[in-house]
Amino acid sequence: MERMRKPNIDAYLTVMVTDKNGKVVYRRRYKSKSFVVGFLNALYADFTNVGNIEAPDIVVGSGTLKPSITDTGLESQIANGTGAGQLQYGTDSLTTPVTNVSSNTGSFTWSKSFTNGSGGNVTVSEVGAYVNVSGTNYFILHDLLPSPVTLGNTQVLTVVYTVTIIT
Amino acid sequence: MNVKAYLKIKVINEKGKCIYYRRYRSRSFVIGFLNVIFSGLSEQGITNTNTAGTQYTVSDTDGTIVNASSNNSNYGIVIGQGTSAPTIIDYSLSIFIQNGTGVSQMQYGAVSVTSAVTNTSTNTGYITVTRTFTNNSGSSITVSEVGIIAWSGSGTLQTNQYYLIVHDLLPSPITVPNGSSLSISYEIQVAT
Repeated sequence: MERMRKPNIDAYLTVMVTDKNGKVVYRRRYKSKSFVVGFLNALYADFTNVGNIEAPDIVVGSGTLKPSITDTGLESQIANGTGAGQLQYGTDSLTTPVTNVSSNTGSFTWSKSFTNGSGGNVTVSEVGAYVNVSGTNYFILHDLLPSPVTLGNTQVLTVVYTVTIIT
Repeated sequence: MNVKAYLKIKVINEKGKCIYYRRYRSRSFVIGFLNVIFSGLSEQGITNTNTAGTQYTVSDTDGTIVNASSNNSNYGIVIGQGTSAPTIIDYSLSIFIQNGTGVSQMQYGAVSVTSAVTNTSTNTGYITVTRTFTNNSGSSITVSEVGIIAWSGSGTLQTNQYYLIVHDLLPSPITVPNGSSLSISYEIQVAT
């Protein structure tokens, strides 16, 4: 096999915790290992005119199993709310793609914040994301965090996926 | 890394015999792909460039449709004779080979897209996009670049635009004799 150059689509995962004063108390950035077969299924649907990819939804969970190609959701998703073990889900936000013609790269970020109003600690160990194509949800990303993150009451977890292409 | 693409190229002579086969690791996605995926996810309009080099505003309902029918070279896998290295902002092939049987033209077959195949042992999966091009021009044709053009669709709120999403320069140009056909297949893989 002849090699033309380097890989083409990468995703990076940044997790950040801020306290009630807005101070960053934890930050890690990982190279995501995360696309699962749902991404291919969504792309297939888009390629074949079933519908376009829309409705992003980042989710967090407390599972500890290693992701596999056929995963259709988190192992143990944390529910939205202020009850015990719950987090308040913010809105998914995306930034306009940035192109760098010198390095032949382009990227956009996709983020969401999760606020702990449960009154106790909540530990997050897995992250994932859904999209929708023509009414069907596809689970496209699943990452197990190398180190679980424990959120104290009132702390906010921000998850950022940076999707990058290299030409 | 998590998503990669492979490019498989095969030349079949008029007797049905495979006379050339190569498999490359593609480097290929360009900014048009990212722009349209972003627009759909964010529900925001964004400026993109169509294959004619004209800027337009992407609709958040635009598709990334590639399954073109035969003799339609507006979208799907396309081929060319350019030799410039692809860049992130490419919006077309350098020298496009037209559909037809005239000089330096090739007949574009229909594009097929296969649904995902998964391997749970290796935690990998892939889909393929394939098209065959037949040379009935009367003489040999050299192909040196390959790409994928997507169509946005022309439904309500769709922009009816064609835009480049993949561009690859072949490490070695391929000469397709008259009467032979060229099969191009992109295999898009994920590894979990």
